[in-house]
Amino acid sequence: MKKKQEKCDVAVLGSGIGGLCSAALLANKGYETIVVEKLPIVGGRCATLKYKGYKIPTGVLGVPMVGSFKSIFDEVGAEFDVTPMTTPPKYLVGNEIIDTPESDQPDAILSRLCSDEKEIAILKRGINKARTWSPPSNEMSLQDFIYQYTRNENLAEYYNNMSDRILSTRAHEVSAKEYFQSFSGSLKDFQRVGFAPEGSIALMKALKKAIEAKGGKVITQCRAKKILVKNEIAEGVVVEGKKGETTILANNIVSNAGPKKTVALAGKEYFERGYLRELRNMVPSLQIWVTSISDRPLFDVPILYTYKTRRLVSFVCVSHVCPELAPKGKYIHYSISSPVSQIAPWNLKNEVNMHIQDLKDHLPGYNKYGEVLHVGCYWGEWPTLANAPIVGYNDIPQKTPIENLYNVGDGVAKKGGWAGGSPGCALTAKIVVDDIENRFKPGQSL
Amino acid sequence: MGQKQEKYDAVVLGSGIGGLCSAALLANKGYKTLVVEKLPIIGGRCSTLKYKGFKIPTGVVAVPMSGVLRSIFDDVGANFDVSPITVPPKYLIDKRIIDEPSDGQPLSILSRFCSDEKEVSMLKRGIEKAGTWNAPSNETTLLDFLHQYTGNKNIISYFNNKCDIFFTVGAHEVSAREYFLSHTGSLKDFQPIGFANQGSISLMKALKKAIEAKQGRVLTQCRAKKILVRNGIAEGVVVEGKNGETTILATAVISNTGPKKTVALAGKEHFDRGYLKQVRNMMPSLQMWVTTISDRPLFDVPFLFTLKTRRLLTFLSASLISTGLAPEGKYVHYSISGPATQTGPWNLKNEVNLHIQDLKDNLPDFNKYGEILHVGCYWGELPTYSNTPIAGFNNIPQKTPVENLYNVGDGVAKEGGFSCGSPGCALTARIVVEDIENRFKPGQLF
Repeated sequence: MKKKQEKCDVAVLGSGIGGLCSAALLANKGYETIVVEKLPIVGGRCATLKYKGYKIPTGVLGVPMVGSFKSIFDEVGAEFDVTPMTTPPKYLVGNEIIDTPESDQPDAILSRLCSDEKEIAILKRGINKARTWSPPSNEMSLQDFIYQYTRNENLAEYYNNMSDRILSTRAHEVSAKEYFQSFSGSLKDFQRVGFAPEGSIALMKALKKAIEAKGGKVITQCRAKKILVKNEIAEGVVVEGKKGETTILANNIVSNAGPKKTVALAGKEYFERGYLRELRNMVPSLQIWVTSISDRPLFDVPILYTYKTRRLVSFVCVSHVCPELAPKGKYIHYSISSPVSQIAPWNLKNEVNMHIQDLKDHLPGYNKYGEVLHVGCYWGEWPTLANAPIVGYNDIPQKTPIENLYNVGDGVAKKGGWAGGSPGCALTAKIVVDDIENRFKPGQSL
Repeated sequence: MGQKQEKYDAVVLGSGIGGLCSAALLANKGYKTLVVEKLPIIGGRCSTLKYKGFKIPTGVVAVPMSGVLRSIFDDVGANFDVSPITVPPKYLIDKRIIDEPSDGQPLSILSRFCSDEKEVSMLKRGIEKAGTWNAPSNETTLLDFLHQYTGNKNIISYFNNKCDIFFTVGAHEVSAREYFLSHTGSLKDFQPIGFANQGSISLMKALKKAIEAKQGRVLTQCRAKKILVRNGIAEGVVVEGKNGETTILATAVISNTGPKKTVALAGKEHFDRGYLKQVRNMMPSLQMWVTTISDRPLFDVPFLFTLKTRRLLTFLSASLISTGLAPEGKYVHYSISGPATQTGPWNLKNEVNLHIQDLKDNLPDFNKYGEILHVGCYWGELPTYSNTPIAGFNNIPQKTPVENLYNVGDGVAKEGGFSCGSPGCALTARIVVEDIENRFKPGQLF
């Protein structure tokens, strides 16, 4: 009955973007690294399911072509097989399509949404001030901010859609400060977006390959059972894999399981109440994505932003960019929605129905040719964004109260200079790896 | 009846530390700068009153010998006439005097308060972790944090005292995170401290001299009546001096009058409600200082911390360091207290009585030879610290919602790497001057 024991520099729990990025960076710097993943596939919410030859995302749809995420691939020598999207988006306002040349977005779209040039000029002046002088107060919502300058519903809806797409929170709930700070954060990485032709999982597999090339291990179907803590210091993790239980002793533990799960794994008696309260107060946000298929393209450009809908915020005809995501002659589309309020209660079934009703009502041809293949969402303990950027909610730092135990992933992505989605998760990995480097050398035991 | 008009690059309202530091830095960089001060003397809460040959501080009792305040004096070539306290502080606890151990270890004093070495070493380890691993949650108070490791009343009183002196908030009210972050902030400037040989006003006069040497002006008895705002941009200020009203046009307006007064001067219609709410929610804290005189020294070391008292926190025998603060053969002493709680209501008269009673009970020579010369305090609109570092209170940024209108001083001193007292105010000046430098050149009008 003697338990197996292994030693490494860093044990990583979970193989999402945060976990694999951390492990790849660490392995590349010479740290002996083990990643354990409970599922049979890697990637977490950046993976791909296959069904009838279609590739269905488990979360991440498009990925930024530049910034923190991409730079990790470059650093560790992992292949970044992503096809950039080169066609500008179109805008659907009600049932009217507005199409603008790329050169003068978003000014052109504003003029299309409102004919009063003076009102637009006032709004633009206000927005410019928020960006170049000082962001508005944290006590003010984005909607309040916009209403200072305009009550034009189309203009307000433009920002509502933008806020929902990037922060999965509508303008009346998002703090105006967060919104504007997000433009100096990882949001700018999204200015060039692309799609992985083999699905997002291909990117995660490339990271796995980079980890293994440096002697690191990525073990699937291996579940973390307990984080070992002695004298407030993390010293390892008990995992259960195909061959039974193993104790992995490690100088550092990096958890990509989400802050709440991390506490459960270590035992909440090791965490101060203030920290536990912060976790309890996390406000995860719901986002829903629907995968639709058809025999013909349902729309002529890859990205369509939809305004004045019930729920729908964008529709991606991804086959225009990556025909590889569907069988030959078939087309695949992703659409995104969030509930109108992330604070108020919502009914998941309603939210899905309204999303699909929006597709039917607003996309010509959807009724005739479109077919829903898959509906996905994360909520509760596995949110889209850990903390909706709402006034009064704290950020959870990457470091936990237990020494040498870190969290990565969007549960601990920084607000204020917002970091969300894949670049946000990648950024947490960078921050944690920097800290580990400053604290330990590879092979250095405590 | 044509009003007089003048033009400047920057106009500074108020001649406290924040105002004069900003003006000195700006004048030194070639900006045409004007300071207006409503009182006949400059310095605000860093000034000195004279009475019967004794020098009574208007707020700042002692100043840090190094760090941001000092560096401004060096930058602008102002004379920093301060004598440092070179003798280590002593502690008065239960009528016993405790010396600071001379081993140079920052926390070795703790062993003098508590004979249980194991308890002390656990606490030291916890504090070390808070400093080197991760600061505790913002939702944990310093007292909660200490209680994790110790219940020793002497030790708790030690931290309560330190906390109250620097933050004007007791350990039960201050966020543990703020407390520990402060040690990387301007708090470290306070080692060592010193006394301005001719009173703190001499430092402010030195800054004034530096401003005037660079063609800047400092006008006393000149009151700001209105900050002029057009299209959301500050463009000047109307002042009323000895020769009547003048309109000062300026590219930047820097207010050292406190955020509330700044809003009143500009008109609250120019500020968003969220900002106004933040300003309304500011929680100023009370601190009290008593000036005592005598014919002989009341205590043999300049710096005495008083623990486990009702209110008294520290007793500074300033004449032991700077003889210029009292007439020949006389001694002046400054003592400081704060109310036991800043969140609950307090009665000012009670607070003063408790302070004086503490002096009588704890310093045997006070009863015999001491005489109270002056009791000072700030509260309400002119706080000791604008925002007590309690979780849930927002910081007011230096930039206001009105473009080119800044606040400086402790009303806008940063939390998180806590900035307090004179170095905190000096830091706000540095931040604002850097921003102005990035935005426009001397003589460049928008």
